[in-house]
Amino acid sequence: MRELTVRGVLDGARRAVSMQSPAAQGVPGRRVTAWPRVLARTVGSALVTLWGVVSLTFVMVRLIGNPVDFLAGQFRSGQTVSAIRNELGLNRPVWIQYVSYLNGLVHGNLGRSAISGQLVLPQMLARLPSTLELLAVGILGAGLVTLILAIPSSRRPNGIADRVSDVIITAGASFPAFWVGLVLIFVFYAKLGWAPPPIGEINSSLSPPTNITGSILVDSVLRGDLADFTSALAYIALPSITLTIMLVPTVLQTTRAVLLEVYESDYIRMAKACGLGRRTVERYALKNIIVPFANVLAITVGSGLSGAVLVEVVFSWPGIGDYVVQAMDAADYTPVMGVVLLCAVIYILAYGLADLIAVRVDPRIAERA
Amino acid sequence: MNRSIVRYSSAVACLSIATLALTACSGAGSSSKATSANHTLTIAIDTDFQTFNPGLSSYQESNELIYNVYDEFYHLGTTAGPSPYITNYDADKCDSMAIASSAFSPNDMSVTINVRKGMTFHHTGNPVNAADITWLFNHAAAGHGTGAPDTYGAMQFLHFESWHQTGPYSVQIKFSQPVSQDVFCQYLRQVEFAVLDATQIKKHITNSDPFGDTYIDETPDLGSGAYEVESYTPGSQMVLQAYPEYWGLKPYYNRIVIEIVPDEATRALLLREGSVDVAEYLGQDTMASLKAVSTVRILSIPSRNQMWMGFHFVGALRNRLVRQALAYAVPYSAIISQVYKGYAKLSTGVIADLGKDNDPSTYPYTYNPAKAKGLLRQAGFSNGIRLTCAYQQGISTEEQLLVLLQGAFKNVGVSLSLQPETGAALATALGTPTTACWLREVLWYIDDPGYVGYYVGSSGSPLASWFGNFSSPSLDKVIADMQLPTTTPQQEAAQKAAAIQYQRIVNGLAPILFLGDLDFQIGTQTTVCGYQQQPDSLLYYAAFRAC
Repeated sequence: MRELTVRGVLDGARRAVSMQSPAAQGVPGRRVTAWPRVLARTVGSALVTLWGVVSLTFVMVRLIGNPVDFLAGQFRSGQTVSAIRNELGLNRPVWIQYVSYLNGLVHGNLGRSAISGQLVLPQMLARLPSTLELLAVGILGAGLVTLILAIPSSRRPNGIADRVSDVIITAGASFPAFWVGLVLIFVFYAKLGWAPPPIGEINSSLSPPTNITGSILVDSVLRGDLADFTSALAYIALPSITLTIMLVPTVLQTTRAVLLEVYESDYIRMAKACGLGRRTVERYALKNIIVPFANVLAITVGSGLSGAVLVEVVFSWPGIGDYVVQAMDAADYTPVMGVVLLCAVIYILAYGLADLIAVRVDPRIAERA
Repeated sequence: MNRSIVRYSSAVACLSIATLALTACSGAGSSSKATSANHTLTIAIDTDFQTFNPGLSSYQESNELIYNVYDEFYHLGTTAGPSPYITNYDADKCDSMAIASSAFSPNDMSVTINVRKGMTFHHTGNPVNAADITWLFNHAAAGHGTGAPDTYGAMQFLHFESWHQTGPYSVQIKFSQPVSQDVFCQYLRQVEFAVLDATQIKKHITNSDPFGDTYIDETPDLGSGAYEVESYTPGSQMVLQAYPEYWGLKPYYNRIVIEIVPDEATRALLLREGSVDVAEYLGQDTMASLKAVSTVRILSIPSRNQMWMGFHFVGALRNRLVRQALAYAVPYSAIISQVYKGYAKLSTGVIADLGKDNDPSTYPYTYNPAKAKGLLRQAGFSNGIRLTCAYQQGISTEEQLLVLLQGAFKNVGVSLSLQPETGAALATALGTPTTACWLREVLWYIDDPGYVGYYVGSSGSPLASWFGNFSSPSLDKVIADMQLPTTTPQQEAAQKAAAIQYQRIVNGLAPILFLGDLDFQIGTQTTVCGYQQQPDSLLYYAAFRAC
């Protein structure tokens, strides 16, 4: 009888905490109806954002120069320069070039590189999986490190985990990614010999798995090729650790702050006061950081993309980094605009996903939607 | 809570250990280990190939690929280099490649070239013949060179008037004025004259693309050279294999792996650790750091490449005395020792020290700040002048050079501001006087004073706007004399006399500061021999061999 009474009290406490917890508030029935509206709003704002990005980039790239003199070579004649300008369509009024570019975009044509003469979209898509692979592993690493450190450090401020977090945040934010990458290469490749040479994604003596997704790591898993997988894992280890070190400060600091706030909130105090077990309390706390954590990860995609470009250069990783650097140097408009657009799409997708997670997890957001 | 932390930590620890174990297992087996057994040469370059189109290529990376995958018309002969590990080119010797033989008319107004028989293109097996040659010229000339601007520029320089096929393997070219046979050979050895598989290209032409440029742009290999493209991973790697049907030299290295390694420090480290056999595009500081590595050999070859600071004739720079003052304000020796670490030599003017008909006595400038100040006073600028100089960002050696010049110019009252530019912006800045000066390394592909004169000083020069259009009719006459054929000793002597006069005029006008004649440098493993220097410093893979 006594035991039943205690259980009853705990059940009551759980129900009470559940009612007070922000993640549990709102009208559950509305979640389903909120989805299409959220999706429509996200897509609508995404399109407006993309149009803004395209327009701004279209203007900005023209400020870095033009590819004509470069393309014509150093021993060009005026006639050749003029002919190339005509061929590239740069003799037309800028607004016509703009409309033409937008028209191409609508039809899935990102144009051709003035320098290589190749279509931009296939060139980008050939390099994109490598960048995304690196970004995904880097963000995954940052997420893992954050989960490991944020929970104990927010539970016990000024404890060991909290101090370790402080050191990691300060160090990660202080050291530039390329420097960290070079140090890792020097130590693990040159000195210890544990890491493979920083060239590409897989040992060049192996033939990469058949292209399914474009990511060697994923393709080797799909094909069940252990040799390729181990090699790909070895090759991605240092670049992804570098990216993780770069991303951890933001994710860890934000998550720790949110967790601290959650742990000090009334419903957690009430849960503790009601005698709920530590794991149950943690479950409530963690549930309430999903939304901010997802948002932080979405923000991280942006900084991760720019970081990935640097990491790619240091580790000779065949992503979009070198491609866009080369295009910028040559003032090759279409690849630069293509890559910026692509990054915007990735960023928007990440934010959209975070929004959808928020709607799914937090009924109040669904209700507002 | 503690248990969950332990669980998380364990998972990550397991993952880390697994990764490191896998790393240790598969990491050490670097490409170099497998290299020698397969006669594979691994080369690290700095960036991906910008284009596959020989007619559009202005980049070293693309040019080098094309040079090895395609056959050009000619190659230059070779001679002993400055060390046992280097073979140098000989601009006086013309070796036949795609063109087996050629016959100039007695007045040098036309030439009949005969295509080598038995050559075939990679991948298709199509024979190389005269139709491919005429297609090349037609493609270059179409639309004022939009499809192949550099080829078109060369054809203009060589006064191509017309060309037509005279047989299945022969083409006659007519010139509008006599052409030097030496210059003809030197020009047609360049990648602009790489022979493409016209038969294959013609299958891909459309009304809007009558020369199949789109197909050429997207196809890494339409050539017949010593190597064919085996695979290409954009941004990462290209693998070449020796073409089994090649008519010429059978390369020792039957497989070439070109790794794209954008970071210079990483390229140097890979060379140091033996993961690559050759590392290209290393800066002076990196080269210096590699000299102490026992397994690495740094090859340094004196060349005709020059570092220029060119002047747009604007503001104070319109005054010849100001330009001369600046030439006296340059600390030439300090540049050689501090910036180039001794891997360059003092320039002696517009024709490089190693160039044909160079006359050092025509270059009066040495480091003399007092004289520089005096000339500035004489020009009416005793309070000094301000200059802004455009240069390409991200090239550390050039940045060091400019900082040194800033200090030296300040000593004579000249304030030098620096304006970093992208490659494209610099290409535009060279021809437009938005800045007073610019800095650029110049590679002289052709060793001929007439060629130098055409580009620096002639009124028809495509580069005239680089130096404020300083040409004059009398200078044009001297340059025209330098461009005459030099078949007889008398013609040679006449060209030399004109060249000396030309150097005296141009060096005296000081449109350019000649900051040094640069060595070409490259790092290789000590196990790799056979390096062959080319005028454009492109690596000729077929010449490499094991030591």
